[in-house]
Amino acid sequence: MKSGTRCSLAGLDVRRGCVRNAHNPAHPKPTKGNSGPPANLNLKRLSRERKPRQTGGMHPNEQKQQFSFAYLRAIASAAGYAVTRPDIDDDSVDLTFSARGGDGTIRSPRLDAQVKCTADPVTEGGDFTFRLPLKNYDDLRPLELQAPRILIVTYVPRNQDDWIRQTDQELVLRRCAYWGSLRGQPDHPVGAARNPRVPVLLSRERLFSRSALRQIMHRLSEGGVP
Amino acid sequence: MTATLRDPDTLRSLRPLEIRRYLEATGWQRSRVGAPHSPCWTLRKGKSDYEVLVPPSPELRDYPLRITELLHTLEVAESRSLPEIWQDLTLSGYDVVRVRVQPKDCEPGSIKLDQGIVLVQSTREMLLAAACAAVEPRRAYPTRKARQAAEFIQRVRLGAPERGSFVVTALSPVPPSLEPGADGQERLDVAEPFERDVMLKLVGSLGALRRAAEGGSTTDFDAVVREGVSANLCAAIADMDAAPAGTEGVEVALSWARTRPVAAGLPRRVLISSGAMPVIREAARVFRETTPVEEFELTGTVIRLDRPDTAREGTVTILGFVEGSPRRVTLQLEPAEYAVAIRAHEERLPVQCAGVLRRTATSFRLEGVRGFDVANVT
Repeated sequence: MKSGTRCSLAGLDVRRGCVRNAHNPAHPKPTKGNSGPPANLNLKRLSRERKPRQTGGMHPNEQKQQFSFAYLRAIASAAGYAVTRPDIDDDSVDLTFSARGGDGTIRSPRLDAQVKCTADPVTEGGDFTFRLPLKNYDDLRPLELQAPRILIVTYVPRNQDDWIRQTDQELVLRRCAYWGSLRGQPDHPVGAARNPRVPVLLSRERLFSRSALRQIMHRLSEGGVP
Repeated sequence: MTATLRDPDTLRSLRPLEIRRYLEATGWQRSRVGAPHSPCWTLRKGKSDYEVLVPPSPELRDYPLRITELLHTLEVAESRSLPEIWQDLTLSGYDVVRVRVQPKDCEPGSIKLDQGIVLVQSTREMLLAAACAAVEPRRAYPTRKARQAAEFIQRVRLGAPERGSFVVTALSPVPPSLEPGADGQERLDVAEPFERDVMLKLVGSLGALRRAAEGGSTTDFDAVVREGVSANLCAAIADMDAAPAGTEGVEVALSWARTRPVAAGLPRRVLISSGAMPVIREAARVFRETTPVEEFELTGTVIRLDRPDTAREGTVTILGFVEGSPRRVTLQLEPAEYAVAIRAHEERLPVQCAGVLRRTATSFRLEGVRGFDVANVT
């Protein structure tokens, strides 16, 4: 389950991105005053890692997170739901989707989401596998929750230039997000790894779309689960 | 949101019952969906509809998260600051007594340290007096208080100072009343717990004290003893006012625990003006001096023996401690006990006995003397 096994779907999209963009992520432009890496560095690894760019000082991981939040907010607003960022030290809920009450307050139904973003999707029989940190896995499993929790994984092109496409006609956010529920899943053996991760399978059918969100919220308001 | 209100443990400390009682008291209604055990509560205010979710148990994993949502909605719906709402919510299980004084020579919000100590001490004495009165109304209470009252005062907490003129806040935890059953019926015929009795007695006795002080006669004060006015209460209130330059008066305000509602119409605050304090202080002295102390235990030395030739009984004067000061106490003794007194006097031994201590014009008298003997001095 290495990130090197690039999936066909991802390949398709990335290729589409490459066609439209002159800049190829596999060959980053050398920066001014830097003719190349020192010989003793791992060139393969360097080529995979993104060079710091003019990103307003934002770390690439932070950038991915913010982009995925914006992506999900766009979907939620189109579906007519509010998105709030929990104001509490709880790192397993990134966003809460809810209906709107008076003066912008929130009301039921509520749906908590752990949001992940990756540029390296892994496929398994057409579905996706995401290697979720064990802590997040454990926080998403419990049944004793007032509001249900889901995992949302947003996939973005590797090249940040391909994340959005904008014309005077449209704004395209790339690529998409899938969701899954780990409610009631069994314990995962801890193992010896320092930062253990759990491979989580996300069905390709569970695209996190406007209609999917509406359906989830409808099920919750009927007393069901996501 | 303040730092403490981001801490999951702090948020978990707020109990669902406290929240529900708060919502009930502030006009929220249980959502009709899934009533009567729906976790959703709604409030309609003008054109706005608000909803809050009260998770049924703090054990739920997302309890802290749901509480932050609830607090945020309350903040918006009530247009009040979060610290204010938080304080009201967390104190909903306490009867809160606020003693407010404004010394004339002090800036608002602070008080001289020594006065602060007196104020806290007097607040304790006031509550203890109310607790004793809740056990049994009397004109004065001895140093050793009834067990129930002594246990009560151990449970009272001192709250954080509040803004404004100087306020001492005492928190008395009260058990929550049971929520109405499925039929919506509450049981009204059950006696209140002692903690609540004390507070009811406090508010009643302070009102009575103010009336008596306005009247100003011994009869006026005697008439309110059964309402809980005692030497101890009078002394506590008079001490609160004891700032060198005087105060603007003493105000005692009570907010009832939301988890145990009271009948409507009870007074929430009593203001006792500075002008009434001399009368109250005098009432404390008179009550104290005219009240016999039951079960008084006296230890001291025999300093005078007096028995006329024809009499069986003799009068003995003992130098002992009364309320912390050396006092002469006289008592009548039967022949056998009188003989013990003579021996003690000759051999310079201390004696001990018990009885009812009464103050006379010039000294003290011990009546109904029991157990007169040479003291066991180790």
